[in-house]
Amino acid sequence: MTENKDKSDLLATHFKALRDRAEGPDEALLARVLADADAVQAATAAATAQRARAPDENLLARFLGVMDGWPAAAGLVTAGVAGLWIGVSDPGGLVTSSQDMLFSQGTTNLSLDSDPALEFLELDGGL
Amino acid sequence: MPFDDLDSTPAEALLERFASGDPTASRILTTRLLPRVLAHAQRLLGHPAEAEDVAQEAMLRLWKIAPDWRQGEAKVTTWLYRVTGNLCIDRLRRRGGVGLDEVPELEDERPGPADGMQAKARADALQTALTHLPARQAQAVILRHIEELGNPEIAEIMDISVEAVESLVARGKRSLAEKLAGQREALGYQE
Repeated sequence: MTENKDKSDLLATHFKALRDRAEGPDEALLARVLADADAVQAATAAATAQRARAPDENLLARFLGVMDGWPAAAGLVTAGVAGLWIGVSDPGGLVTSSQDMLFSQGTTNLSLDSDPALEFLELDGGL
Repeated sequence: MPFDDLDSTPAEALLERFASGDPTASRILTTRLLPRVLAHAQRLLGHPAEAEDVAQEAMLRLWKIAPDWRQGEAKVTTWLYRVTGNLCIDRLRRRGGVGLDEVPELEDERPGPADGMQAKARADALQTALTHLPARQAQAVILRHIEELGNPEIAEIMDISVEAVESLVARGKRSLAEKLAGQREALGYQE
């Protein structure tokens, strides 16, 4: 028991000696560590700024990717413009009432007599 | 936030400020943490130049992980002890074990130790003895009796159970006591 206590005391004395001896970092090491910190912060800030600039570019790239490139996108735009024109233009020449469209068993008559220029389109046919 | 307020801010909050771009946070974290990291590496490696390399690398890893640090989980100090320990053990394994003549000679110019030199001689003797222990035993003993951490925190640092920590510390201390008892007589320590 006494021997164990002696050993324990011996160790405690040594542990204290090593604990008290801690040598702090010199100025050069401090400077290196701080330089590393600054570099990491600068890199993070640059990456964040890059991501902030890029969202519109990214959105355009994704749109073109879905549309399979500029030609398809141009076609979509054209169709959209045409649809808009049709929607806002004067609808004269088109069938405006469902009563003008007659469907009966055995025959199909399509009357477009609201526009004289289209009289030749009167159709007869059996279904 | 005034500097003195930052000085009492927990390391975890300072790390979050660092991740947000606050330049003062790294200054305070370095002042507070680098001495502990360096001392721990010195005790594990017994080699001052290597200990500096490890300390710088451990701090660099802390800066890099800052944006991903999850508040409320581990303590920064616990994480740093683990990283420092792992870096040191990697170096010790690459060294392939250390003989007495590979650890740098520590200066001891006076023939008969006065009080201050006696403490230095004991510290040197313990440092040498630690480098001859298996790395994980030395790590456990240093964390317990030099860094004075509790066994649960040591278990978290070393990623083992508390029982495993106790076993490593007990075996390490037995080996150290035998080595130092023999050296005490040879070096004429005065108790």
